[in-house]
Amino acid sequence: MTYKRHLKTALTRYVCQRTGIIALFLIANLLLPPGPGWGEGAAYAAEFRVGLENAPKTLDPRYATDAYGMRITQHLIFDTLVTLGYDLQIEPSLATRWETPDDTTYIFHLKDGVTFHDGTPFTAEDVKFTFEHLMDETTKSPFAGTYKGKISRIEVLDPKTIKFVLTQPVASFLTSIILPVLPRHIIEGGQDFPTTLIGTGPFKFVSQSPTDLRFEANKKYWEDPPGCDRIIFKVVKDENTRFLKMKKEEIDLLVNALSSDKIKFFASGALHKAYQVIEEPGISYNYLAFNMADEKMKDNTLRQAIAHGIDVDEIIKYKLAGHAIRARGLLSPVNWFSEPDVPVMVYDPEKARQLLDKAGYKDPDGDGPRTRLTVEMKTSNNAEITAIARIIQAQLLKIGIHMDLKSYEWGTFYGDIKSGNFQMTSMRWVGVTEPDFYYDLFHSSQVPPAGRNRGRYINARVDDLVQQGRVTLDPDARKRIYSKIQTIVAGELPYISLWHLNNVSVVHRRVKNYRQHPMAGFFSFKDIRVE
Amino acid sequence: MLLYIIRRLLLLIFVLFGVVTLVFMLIHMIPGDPVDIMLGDHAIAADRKLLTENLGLNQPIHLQYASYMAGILRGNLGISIHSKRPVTDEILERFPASVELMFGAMVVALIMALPLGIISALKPYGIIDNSSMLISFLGISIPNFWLGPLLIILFSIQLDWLPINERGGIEHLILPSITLGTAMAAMLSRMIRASLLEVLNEEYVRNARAKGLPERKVILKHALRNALIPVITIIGLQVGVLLSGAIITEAIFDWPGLGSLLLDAIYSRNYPLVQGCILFIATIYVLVNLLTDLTYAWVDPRVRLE
Repeated sequence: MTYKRHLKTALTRYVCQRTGIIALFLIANLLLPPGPGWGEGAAYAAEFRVGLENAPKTLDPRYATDAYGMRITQHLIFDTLVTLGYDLQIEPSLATRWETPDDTTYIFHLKDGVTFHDGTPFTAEDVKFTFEHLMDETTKSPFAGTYKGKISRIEVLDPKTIKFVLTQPVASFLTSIILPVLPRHIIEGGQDFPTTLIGTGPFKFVSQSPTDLRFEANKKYWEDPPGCDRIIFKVVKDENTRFLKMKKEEIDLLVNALSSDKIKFFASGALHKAYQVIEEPGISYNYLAFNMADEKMKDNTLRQAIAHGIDVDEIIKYKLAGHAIRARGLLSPVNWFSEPDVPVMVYDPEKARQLLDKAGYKDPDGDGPRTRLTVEMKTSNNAEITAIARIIQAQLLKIGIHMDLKSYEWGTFYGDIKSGNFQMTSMRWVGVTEPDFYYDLFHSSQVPPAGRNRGRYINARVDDLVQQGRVTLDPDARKRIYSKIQTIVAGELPYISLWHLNNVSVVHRRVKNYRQHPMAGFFSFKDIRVE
Repeated sequence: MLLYIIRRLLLLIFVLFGVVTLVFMLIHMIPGDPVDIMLGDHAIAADRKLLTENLGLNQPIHLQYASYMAGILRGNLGISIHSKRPVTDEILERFPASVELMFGAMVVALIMALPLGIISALKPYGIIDNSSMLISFLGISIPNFWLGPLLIILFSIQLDWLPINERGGIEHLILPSITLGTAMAAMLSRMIRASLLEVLNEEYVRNARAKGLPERKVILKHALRNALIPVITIIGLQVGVLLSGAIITEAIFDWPGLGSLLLDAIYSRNYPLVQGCILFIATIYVLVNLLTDLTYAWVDPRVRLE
């Protein structure tokens, strides 16, 4: 017993001493001055540090569907055959020029002297492989559906010439092939592609962790070699932390990642001295959608009343602090296909009330508290979206509509919208440049699960027009078709157009040659110089 | 003692079986489809169908459950839907960061709570006790998402002593640890005070004083050790909370821990990863509780584990 007791005391003492030592060590560490090399503020001269709101889901271009994943793959690691320029027009990239001998044939002439990061030359075989690989069922790429049934065959005419034969004329074909060209020798050769990510682009992939992604310049890039040696993406999820990192000048660029109440701090003082704010119209599109299959919502008069009851300009001016422009339709004014002359539902509460009377929703008690009707609006639980929905709720109350606002976590919300379990919703389209998107949104065959006609909008005339738009190759004829579509949709109101958010880049003044793309992409990173 | 440990470990199997089953059912029951979230708006119906089949999500739920269970029995937690990497790898990659933060918070909590608690108990309702009460109330009521940025503004921006965010050397650990540990320190200091006050009235303390032991020894050796049992219980329970529940702190400081991994997995309906994370956290929870029980016996020799 005593022996045991002794052992225990000895053990206790030993453990206590050890813990004491560890504690001392920790305290000593706390008191030590920070060692050299940890200060992020002291960046290398040619290092470009970009803040991201979240990490890209994957950098494998075959599977990357999120915005950051697509921007990094398309603009940094890889190249595409053609690309969308700053005016959203198709421009040459790996394909220097192309011709269309007939409506279903495209012949691309490829750039000479392009090599992958491992030194292997890029040829037409890589292009053929890329699209066949994406269409291959075993690849399980989400992009397979974009090409399947549209591309009938791909022929390599010579190492620098390739021919695509389509099953039918596809007006959006050139936009649809804007996807990274893959290295055939790596993937077919069974080498590890997802972790090496060998491409032809201006930057080579170096490493990835949950909080940062590193790239280095491809000095042998086929255009001028990049102006900065390294790009480091810092994933900073919390907006306050992002702002504080800017305050300490640890980030050189944030694109659309600060809210308007933070942006205003860059107008003066130390932040203004260090950073420049670049603001230009963007192409994202905020809208309210109706479920046209719903008993109440299918009434056009009611939809018009709601549209006249919402003061969009007020929301832009006060809630968005002017960082947006009023939208007239899906396509932003930057887009060549956008039709400026469509019916606009201006804010007019008096007219809205008259329309409600006409639709049979009489005011039950004049100035009293009772409302004419109740509609339900579902949104995701995104703070900005719900805040805006509450403003709309207050505006609609003035014309006698009680809007029942329900916010859900994204997965639940998205499921409800797709299954048609909603009356109204508020959402945003991002990155739409191709007018053919009207087919996905409003063609009667595109009701989910087939497509994205979530509001169940069905109109034979629109069906006919979006179908024509898909196969009409002459740009002017095509523009006329989409003008008609935009006019019809603006009058029938399956959507109420709200606004296009501006792209806002906050860029450090030591960064030169940064140019903002309407799609907020990383297009200009190859030209950037860091002083 | 050994028998006790073995019995507890056997019990662990049943607990984990229950956890896996419950989590499996809950995550599959909540609305939202991983395929939709994964493909976003790009995919057409054919792709969606293909991916659903590839992930085995088209099978009846009981078959999915059976195959998942079969995997677990073979030690295979499955493949994460997005990254296509083994779930075990993803978890183990984040685990060290979580453990580091947990220890940091624990050290902060103890450094603050022990002296505060002891002094408060020795001079109850004195100035120190009252101010420690105030500090504790503040500590519990200040939310992490406010305290975190405040600490950054003071220590990283104004004073420029510490880095703002990210995991790195020990200097990276300080602010997140304070953010996470403050609430626990507040709770612990009140706990230590109450428990010590109670013990100080015991006869053996009077006895120890009577036989002429120095006061320091009476407090630290005779009283404090007996007062620690409820404190250890709290610490044991907090380990689980700190490991998985540091989501806000992890978000503010971009700390790559388990909490944010789990949260992202839930948002993207990454079924295997959610299940794997919760199974892992539950295992740790149960093991730590076992360890807590074993510690009782060490702290208080009167406790017998049978």
